[in-house]
Amino acid sequence: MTKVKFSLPHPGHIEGLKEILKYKPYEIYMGGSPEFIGTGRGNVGVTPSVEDVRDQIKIIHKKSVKLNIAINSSCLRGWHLTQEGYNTYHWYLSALEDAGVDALTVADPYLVELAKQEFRMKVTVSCIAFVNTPEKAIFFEELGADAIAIDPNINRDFEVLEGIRASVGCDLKVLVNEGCLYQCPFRYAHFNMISHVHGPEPRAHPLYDYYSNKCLALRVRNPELLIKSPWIRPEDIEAYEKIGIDIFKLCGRTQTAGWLNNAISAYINRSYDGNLMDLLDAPREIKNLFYIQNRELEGALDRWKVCNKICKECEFCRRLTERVVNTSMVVEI
Amino acid sequence: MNYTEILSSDRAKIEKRLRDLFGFNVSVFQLSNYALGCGCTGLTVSPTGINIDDLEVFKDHIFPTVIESAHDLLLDPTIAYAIVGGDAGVSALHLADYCDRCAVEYGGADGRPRPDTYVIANFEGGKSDKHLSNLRSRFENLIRERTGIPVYLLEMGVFALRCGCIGISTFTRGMRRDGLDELLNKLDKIAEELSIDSDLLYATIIPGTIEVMTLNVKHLCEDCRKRYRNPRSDIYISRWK
Repeated sequence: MTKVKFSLPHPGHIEGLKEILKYKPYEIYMGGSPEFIGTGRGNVGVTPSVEDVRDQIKIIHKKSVKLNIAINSSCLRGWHLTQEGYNTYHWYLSALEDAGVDALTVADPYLVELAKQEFRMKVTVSCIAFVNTPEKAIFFEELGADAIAIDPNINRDFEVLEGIRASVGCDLKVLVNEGCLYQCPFRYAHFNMISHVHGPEPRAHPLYDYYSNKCLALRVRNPELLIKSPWIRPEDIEAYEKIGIDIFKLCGRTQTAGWLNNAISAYINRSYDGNLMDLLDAPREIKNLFYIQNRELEGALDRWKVCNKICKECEFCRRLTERVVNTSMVVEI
Repeated sequence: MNYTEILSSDRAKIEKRLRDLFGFNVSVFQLSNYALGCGCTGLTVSPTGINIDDLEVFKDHIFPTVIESAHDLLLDPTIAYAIVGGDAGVSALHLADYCDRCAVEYGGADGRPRPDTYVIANFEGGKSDKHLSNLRSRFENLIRERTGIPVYLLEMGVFALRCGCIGISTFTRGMRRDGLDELLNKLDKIAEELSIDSDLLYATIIPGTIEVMTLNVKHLCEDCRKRYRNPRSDIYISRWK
């Protein structure tokens, strides 16, 4: 078994960092400071300041691990293109570079170019930039990307993945456990909402997170969507190594340390004997409601690799759902 | 005292204890006893005006009152933890009897499983009364039978608010408007079992959609009785009693 490069989520606090570093990953990533730029996830408690990053980076570099800061808002409301916005982002990126940050993950093409032209930090293009064709990958590489986190919607489309690999020389990352809906219709709107709710002021204060609740409700009502979701099983990592994927990224920086320990161990060991839902970065209601025996999914990737994504003609996922997704594991007192 | 009288009285006791320690600007706006879909049960104290340092320094003066309240409600907690916001303010203090899964997920990291979660104490516990958990399961099953969908009842909580309101809130996932009134009547029967003499049966629905978020029954205080006559856009009133 070759040594795989893992990019692991860091919740943001020192106690969480120590847990993650035990696994000696290639890099860890954490959200930046929402006062400057938001990320693709909500904030949990106190968010790390530049000073916190500086303190933590000493510990991280002692273990020869890299730190990647995710500032991957999908919407910067045009402010980044104003003089004041440019000055602020430039100041913040300078502060991160001075603190010793190794890489940034950004979604906006402007920030890819800004980071590349004016800083030494490596640049990862976020999955929120939705790189899902060789053409788009080439565009971002020419803009300066050192790594591209591929749109998870094509995680099971090996023809396109191989096409991207053949088209660019930069590192390619796949998200292994995002657990979102395949071809999610809420994805753009939801990431835009998160950008404004968890980003810089002025912040919106929605009554409800419509997108998240709708997504959960759809899966409760139709568990087949759980199977179609483009997660990658720990056992299937090898198939992605073979086509030249360089880095495997785990989601979960808003989850608890205990959850992260379990999920990270499974992917590092490339094996999990239990409920696949334990590994997916999904809300607790979905995790508690469904039981999917991971072992029962052995071999499904071979079908998905050649799938034409016309579900009405195929029904493979529907039959698989009937066989492996169990809703009877709901707690009965 | 019946169950909800205990809940109301304990809310006032905990608030008095916190005010004796920190002054008049501190309040407990809600005390709730909950059962989750995963199997956890617990008690949530929702304070305003205290921060995590207050809690850590004065925990030996606060906890006896909160634990006494847990025991009054037949809860035998395994853990006490606080949820802390970006301003270091404590938004909730939980005493929980964890299910096996949450015990693992919230373990480790030197008592800081997430940046917003501070474990204050661990207890042997684990022998809580299961009545509320049974009621949650029973109501979840009713919803499923009525809708034909495996609707998930994330939480059933019985609460006492500072204003004087008491009631039950349940948090649903996957539920739509079908059968709403009938299910609220069923929830009201459960409320009666818990000695809640409700005035109002209502649901919250994401405005402009069919997605039901919560089902609730409430015995309202005078102020809230007026307020609910002109409710927010997400509130669907099924019945006044």
